Amino acid sequence: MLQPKKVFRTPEGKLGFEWNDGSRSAFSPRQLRLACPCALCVDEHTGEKLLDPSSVSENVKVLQVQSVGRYAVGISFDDGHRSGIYPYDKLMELTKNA
Amino acid sequence: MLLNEQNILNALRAVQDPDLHKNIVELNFVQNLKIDGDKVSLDLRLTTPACPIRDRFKDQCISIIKGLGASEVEVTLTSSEGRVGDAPEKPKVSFLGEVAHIVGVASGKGGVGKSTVTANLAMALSLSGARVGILDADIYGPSMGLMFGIDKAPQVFEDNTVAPVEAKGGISIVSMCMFADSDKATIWRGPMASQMIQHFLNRVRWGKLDYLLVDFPPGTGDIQLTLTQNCPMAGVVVVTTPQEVALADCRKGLAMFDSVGVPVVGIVENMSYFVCDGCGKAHHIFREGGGERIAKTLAVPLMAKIPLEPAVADCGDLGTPAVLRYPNSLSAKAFMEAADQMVRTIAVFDHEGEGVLKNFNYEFENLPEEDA
Repeated sequence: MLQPKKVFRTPEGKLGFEWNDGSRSAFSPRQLRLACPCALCVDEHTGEKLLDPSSVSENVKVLQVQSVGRYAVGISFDDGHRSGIYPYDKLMELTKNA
Repeated sequence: MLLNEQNILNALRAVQDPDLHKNIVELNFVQNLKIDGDKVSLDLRLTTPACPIRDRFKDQCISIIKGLGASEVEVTLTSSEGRVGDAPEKPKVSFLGEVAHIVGVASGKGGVGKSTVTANLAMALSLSGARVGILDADIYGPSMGLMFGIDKAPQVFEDNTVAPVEAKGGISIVSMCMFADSDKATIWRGPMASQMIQHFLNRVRWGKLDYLLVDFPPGTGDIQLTLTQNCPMAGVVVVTTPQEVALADCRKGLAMFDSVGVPVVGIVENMSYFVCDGCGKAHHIFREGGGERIAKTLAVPLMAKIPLEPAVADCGDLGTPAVLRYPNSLSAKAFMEAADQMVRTIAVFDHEGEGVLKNFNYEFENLPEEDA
């Protein structure tokens, strides 16, 4: 089961994770904000993306990172958005697709 | 042979932990080793105070060190307190921080005896020396009050926090039944129910516990999700009965825990068989082998098969768990075995999860800066 061993930030302002499989990922705040899987950003039934990328600032920042149970993190952004729950395996997918 | 630290530690490498597959020296269990002439004393720091094989460890250590020529050997058993010391300062999310292991007891389907299993597992753990609590999260049909014969209300403090009620066996319990009129139904929509659960999780002063068992409501809904998202579960025990209809729901329950990253400790098959008091034969009322089948197909251990015993079944209604009232019954023995296995499996999970972040809340600004 994929779990983080460390959470860090990079000099470029990315949010980084060190995983228990030894690998590392780092995401820009905007990349995370655009990938938000919450019901306000993605239609729950159709999976259609509701979030308009142009509405997200290039300089959006991460304020807080909090564990959700044992499988995910909740991230709050400085644009007031905080309802996204990012499962660890989804973050891993995001790393691979980047 | 010369009685020195090196020789003693080398000899103790022969003592293996059968669950972690490593020896006790390698696992850093041996602490505080003191040699005074031919007298030796040491602490064995176990992963859990309820370690079922602690006495075996102790006996093995004593005979090995005596074999090296010591006249007196003193072994003190201690346990690590959930590795609080070496973790960086964690934000205090709630009083759950003092609970070493939170273990869910769940089922896909109602009526399979989850609460009975919870009550008896808790009692078995408590009897083996662990500090145990029960959170009865079945807010629509709470039954822990009845199971333990509790008629007290918990103490509520000024800051809106609650002290759990201490029940038989020194078990700390909080249940919805302590807050609601027993004859009135709790009629709540999802959001309110979830909020109540969060209150239970964050506002109860559990104090230091080795195990907090959470009696889940049946099914895979709002409350179950809230529970798994709001507290870092060390694992979950899934209860089922042998018939196919219960097994189908059990599978769904297991799938839910899988998707939220809570490892399954094992399956307890309740109402496995009935031993006839007339003929003494075991009758498999709900067919046989259901628990084994599901354990095999889903690759999780079958922890115990609990028989139907009328005297034991009465225990729940009479307010004393069977493990305490009829310790020699087949059911009580099965519960004790299940508790033993739970303790060992959780210790293995702990070991595997060493160094992994469990419960955190970081400000981005305060995160350490590193290169990707």
